[in-house]
Amino acid sequence: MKTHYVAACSKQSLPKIRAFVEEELKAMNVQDAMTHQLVLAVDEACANSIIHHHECDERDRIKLTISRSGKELVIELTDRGDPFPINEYQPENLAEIIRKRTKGGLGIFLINKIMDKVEVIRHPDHFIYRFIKYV
Amino acid sequence: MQIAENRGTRHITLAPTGDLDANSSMQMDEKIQAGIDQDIYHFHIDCTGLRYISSAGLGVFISFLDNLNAHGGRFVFSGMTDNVQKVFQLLGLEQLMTIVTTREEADQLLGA
Repeated sequence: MKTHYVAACSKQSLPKIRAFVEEELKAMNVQDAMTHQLVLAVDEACANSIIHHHECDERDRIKLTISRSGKELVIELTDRGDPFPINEYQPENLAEIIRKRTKGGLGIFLINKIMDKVEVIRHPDHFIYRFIKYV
Repeated sequence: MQIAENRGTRHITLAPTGDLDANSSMQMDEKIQAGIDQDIYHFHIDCTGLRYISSAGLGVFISFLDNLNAHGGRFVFSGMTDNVQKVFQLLGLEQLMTIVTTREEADQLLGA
C-alpha cells in the first residue's frame, strides 16, 4: 500500500499534513501511540522544510509518500533544492538550549529519536528525506 | 488553537485547546511574555484541552525556562494526555518541568 499527499509550503498546511499521516497510518494498522509519534516526526520534518527551506512561500510544494511492507513503514518527504543533512545533525544539549533561551533546535532531534533510520537521498532536481520505522 | 487565561493570586493559568505547533506557538509565546511583562513568573499550563504539541510548542516553554528560574518562578503543567506527556519524555523535559495530574494539584503547588 502506497499513498501520497502534496502540501503547499505554508504553516497552515501542518494540521492537514498531520491529519493525512494519522489517517493513513490508521489505515495501515499502526497502533495509536506509535502513530502519534510518527505524526510528530513528520510534522517536524515538514515544518522544517516549510519554514526554513521555503520561508513559507505558499507557491512551493512538498510531497509526502507513505508505504508499508510488512513491519517496515517508509515515509518519504520529497523537496527541491539543497537538503539539510538531518541524518547527521547533532543538536545542542538541552541545558545549552535553555541557557540560550532559544525556541528551536529540537525538531530534528525528535525525528532522529523517533525514527529507526533517516536517510537523505539526493537527485539532480530534487531530494528525498526517507524515514523508516519498524512497526 | 485557543488559549483561555485565568489570573490567580500570584500566577497565571493558561489553558490551550487544540494543537500547539509551529503555526500556533506564537500565541502561547505572547501570553507568557505578557505575564512576564506584569512581573508574573509562575504559570500553570492546563493541558486538559491540548491535543498535540510539537517542538515549536515546547520551544516556547523552554525559551522562558531560564528567565522564570532566575526569578524564582516555574511552569506547572497539569492534565496532560499520554501522547503529550510522551513528547516531554522524548526530550527529557519531565525532569526539568513540574508535571502534575490535576488542576487542583497545580493550584496547590502555585499557592493559589
